[in-house]
Amino acid sequence: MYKALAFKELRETAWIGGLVVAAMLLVVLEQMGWHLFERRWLVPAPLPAGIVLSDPIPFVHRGLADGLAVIGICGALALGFRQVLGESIRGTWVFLLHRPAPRQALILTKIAVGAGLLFAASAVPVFVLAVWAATPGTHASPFDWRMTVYPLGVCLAATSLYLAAFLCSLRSAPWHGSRYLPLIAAALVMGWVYVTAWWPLTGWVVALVSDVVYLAAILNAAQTREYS
Amino acid sequence: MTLAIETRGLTKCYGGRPVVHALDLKIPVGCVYGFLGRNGAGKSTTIKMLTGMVHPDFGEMHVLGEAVADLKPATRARIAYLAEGHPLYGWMTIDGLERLTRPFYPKWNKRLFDQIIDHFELPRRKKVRRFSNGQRAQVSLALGVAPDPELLILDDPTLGLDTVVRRDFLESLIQIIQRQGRTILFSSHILGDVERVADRIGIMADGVLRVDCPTEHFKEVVRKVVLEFGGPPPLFPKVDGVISDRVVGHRRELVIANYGDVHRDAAESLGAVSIEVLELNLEDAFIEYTRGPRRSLPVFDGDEPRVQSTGVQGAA
Repeated sequence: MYKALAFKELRETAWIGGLVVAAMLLVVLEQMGWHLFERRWLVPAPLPAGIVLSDPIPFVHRGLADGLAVIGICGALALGFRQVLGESIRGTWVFLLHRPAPRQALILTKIAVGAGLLFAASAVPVFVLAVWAATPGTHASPFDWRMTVYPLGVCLAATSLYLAAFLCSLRSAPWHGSRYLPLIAAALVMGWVYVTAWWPLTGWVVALVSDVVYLAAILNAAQTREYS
Repeated sequence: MTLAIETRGLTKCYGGRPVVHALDLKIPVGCVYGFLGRNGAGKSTTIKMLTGMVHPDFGEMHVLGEAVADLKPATRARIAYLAEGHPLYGWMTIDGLERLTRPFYPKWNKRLFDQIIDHFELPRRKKVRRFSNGQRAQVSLALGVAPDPELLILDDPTLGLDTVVRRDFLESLIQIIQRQGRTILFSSHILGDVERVADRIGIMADGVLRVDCPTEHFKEVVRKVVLEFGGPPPLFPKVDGVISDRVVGHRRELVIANYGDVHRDAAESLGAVSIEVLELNLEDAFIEYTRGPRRSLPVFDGDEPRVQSTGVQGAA
């Protein structure tokens, strides 16, 4: 039964995942030296003598983290709000939650699909880049698999933002300020992970802890809120 | 008597105002209960509390013998709930909705589901968003009935349906009712629907359950008494059972529950030129029961008939 619900969630949100993958692939291709975002039109042609447009060094060039952060934020917000507000606007919460299954399990299924989709859509292109970078002869720079810890930490932080968006749209609050408080907290988590590139494991820890906190808050809100 | 639904002192407030106030409801197993009331009377809130979608501020409620707050999935599987407006996933087809719903129910009756869909001639591959309101109601009914529920809770299921579709829907509902031991609670604004289907009614007014009795009994006990006077009508004495009391010209019109000797004596004591006691149909009785003094405020001046109202009281 959860499979049927997961399929329904996937069917409703796959387009967001698709957009994230597409955007991430552009970032990855850029990292592979395709120069999709190279602002050649800003550079006087021909280039002055001695100046060469170099390929970015995979997992060192900030472009990957920047792209991940921007795409992760957009994807996380779109997914989190879509999954909750979609049900609220259509009035289908009552249909969904009357199914004979624990309410928390129904919500967890939604979240598993949303968070899984977001993480997969952002992390798989990173993995593809890592495989490419690990293949000898592809680029003239060193690569170690530990270099993937930081960008994957950014992907994980995006799931915190996704959960915060989910919580914001699920939880009733009298004021907009208090309603969007989880988003502000998640933005801080994202910021922390983004700036601590030199110490990426702390980013993982912070993101995982915040994910657990958000998950608990969501399950509590799902149980206590009213669906009218 | 085994109860399918039981509430004790059920209360829900919004903004400090009780929308459902101390509701004591007892619906026996096998009963078809018509839940009536004007907009905002508290019907939908009560139904949402019974299905666990809204939490009560006070009171207890049990459905199929289990407290609603701790309703187990297995018990929920025995309850069908058709929410107001029949919310469904518009991008899905009927087959898609069945694929989503069916795995949750161990007793899913595929044959019955197909029968209902075929009976209403619903296109299985058309997206639900392209369906009319009536077709959505029919899909909801099929999805609700297929798990073979013991209790059906329907929140204004015929709202927005045209007469023909409504009749079809109700006839299907009657067929479903015929299955033994099935309890149905349904709210409605359409008295004809209730009269056709329900064997017991409850009327909510301003969050309070004002009537809870068999449908026929309600029609039998409510009477309209018209007192004609030569001049301005005198005040009617304060007696129990007076639901509404209006003055129209030289006439005093009263609606009385459990009309009896006390009311007859009170009417005769006023010295009326004529006293007429009329039976009311369900719709008129419902209107008299539920319309507050606001509806009866004077709206004409001068030579127009003056209409005024005193309070509402009484119970059937």
